[in-house]
Amino acid sequence: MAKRSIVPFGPQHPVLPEPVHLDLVLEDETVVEAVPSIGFVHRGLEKLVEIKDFKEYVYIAERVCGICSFGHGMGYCQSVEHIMGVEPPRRANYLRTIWMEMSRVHSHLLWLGLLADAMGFESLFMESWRLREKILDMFDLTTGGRVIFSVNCIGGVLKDMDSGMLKAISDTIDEMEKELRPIAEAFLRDYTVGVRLRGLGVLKPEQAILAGAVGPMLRSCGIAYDARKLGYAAYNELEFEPVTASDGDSYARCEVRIQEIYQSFALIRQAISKIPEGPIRVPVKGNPNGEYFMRIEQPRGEAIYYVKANGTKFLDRFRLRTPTTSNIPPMLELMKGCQLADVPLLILTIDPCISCTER
Amino acid sequence: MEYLNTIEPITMEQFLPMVIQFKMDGWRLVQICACRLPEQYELSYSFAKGFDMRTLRLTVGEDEPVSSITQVYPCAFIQENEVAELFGVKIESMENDYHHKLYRIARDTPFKEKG
Amino acid sequence: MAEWRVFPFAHTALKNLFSKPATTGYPFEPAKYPERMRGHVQIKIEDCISCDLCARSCPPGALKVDRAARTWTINRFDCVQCGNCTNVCPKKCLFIVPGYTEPGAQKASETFTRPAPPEQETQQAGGKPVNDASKCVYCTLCAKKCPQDAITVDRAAKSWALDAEKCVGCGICAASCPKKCLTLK
Repeated sequence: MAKRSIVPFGPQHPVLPEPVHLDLVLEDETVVEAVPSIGFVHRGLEKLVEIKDFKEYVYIAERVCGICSFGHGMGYCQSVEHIMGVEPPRRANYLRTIWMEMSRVHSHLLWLGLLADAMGFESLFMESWRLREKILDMFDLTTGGRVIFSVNCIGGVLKDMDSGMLKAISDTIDEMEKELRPIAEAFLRDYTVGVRLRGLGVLKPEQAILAGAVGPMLRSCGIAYDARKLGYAAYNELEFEPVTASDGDSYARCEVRIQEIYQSFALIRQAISKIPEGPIRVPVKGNPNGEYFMRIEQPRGEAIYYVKANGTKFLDRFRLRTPTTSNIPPMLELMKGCQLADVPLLILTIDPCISCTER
Repeated sequence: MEYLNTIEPITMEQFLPMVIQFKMDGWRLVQICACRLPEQYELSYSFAKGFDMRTLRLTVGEDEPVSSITQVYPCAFIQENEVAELFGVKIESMENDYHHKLYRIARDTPFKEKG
Repeated sequence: MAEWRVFPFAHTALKNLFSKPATTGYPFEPAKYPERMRGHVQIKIEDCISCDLCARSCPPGALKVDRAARTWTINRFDCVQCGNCTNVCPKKCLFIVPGYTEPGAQKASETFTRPAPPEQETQQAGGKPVNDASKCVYCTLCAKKCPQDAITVDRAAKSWALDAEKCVGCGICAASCPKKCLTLK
């Protein structure tokens, strides 16, 4: 047996700006085992629910993460709405869907940029982030914020989009779709990128299920599970099929995310064409009492929002299981047997969001 | 399009056999959550297959040990450590036990008391 | 297996070399902000009634309201621009407007003082509502409008009750009453 050594990886590493630490057990250059250690940015946001009014907590829930902030606010609101038996107006559901899909585009473009950066393809990284800027401008126009939107409230949304804004969004995504093509081409057809991604970190379907993978991670091994198909918000009225790939390697994960950007464009277009007129929120009186597990599909995968209420304005418990929590164990599986130099790229292909995970 | 999303209260004896049954039927572990009750804990283990989700609800006393499910689902270790560390639930024979060192926090079991 | 292409990125790279920069020269050119941009909170202090609702529902606790001193204080460095205060304000005297807070070496708060009341103040707001039961028709409009859910009206039992602890004295009930039977005292 070759001599074993342990190499610390992180908590600060150039590949991702968030703190995650791994102890890599190496045999020569091959990773035998990886022991993760998180907990550098635990803020106890779940605990705050006990001292903040449940209507106010929406603003805290969306500050769990800077990238999936819209989804966190929406997931929390939907679980409280479900407990209280409140049905948000249809227009609010459509607006939520449009913003959610815009978040997905922005998250996936961010990830593509980071992936290019991890491979050292700097110009591709800048190109991806330049494209992402356009969707951030649309967020700025419609909500007033670039990453924290504060538009969700229990019973609907706070801000409406007028026809000018909807037009601006649909024009922007038409333009973006055109500009995404050469970028997607570079990710999927470039020889060097292909050599770097193909066959790296293969996850088998049965392995993915056992390790609890979610989101693009699960779909890249050919399992068509997308929580949007549960039909929350306006997704039951829109037509789409989960994007899947069959190889389960890093290339497949990249491919799934790129196809999902195109799918999000199509969903935004559908939602804009079908959006009904009407009120954007319903008044909510009283306090929730009950519990519910809400599942929504975040850009990184399925997220679980558990709310337990006791009939007062302070909730008993709010639990948020983020997609990255579920994706860390499969990531450790992927690392067994890979080369030390591939570790940064493998961490990145799960699209980790550590501050989400620790809340 | 109604999919299963149920919460099923179970006893400690039923717990591990049901988890093993879930694994044999190809369900995946979705989440583990603890909640504080007066002198008790409420543990929820959710499993999903396709779009169906079932949650097992276990109520345990404050000092009552709960056996770990990491032998069945190794991926449960992060969430089990979290439950043990934030709430002080006694989870036994955990693989990858971090011994309250998962999160770098100043206080032991901060979620155990209210407020 | 997907087919490989030779230099698929070369076209974009060359185009970027000869096109205008994607960024703007911000300090020299002014930045453009959309109308909805959440920059900072502004108050129209003349309309404020010191009801304290904004301070109570501020998630980071950046606001302070002193009813006796008639002041409204904001710590702009604690404010997260969520806009909750503007949503709960019963008088709609708070606005969120573009323009970021200037950076500073110390956290500082800004205080606004309400102008002194005119001599014969017509008690539009500030007190608790009192119902004149002889005029009341129990239409429940005041209960529906109350931002704090402090009023309970039972049409069948012909009862009108106020939860004095919840009431902030905003005067919305009195303003919405069709029979004008509510007075703030």
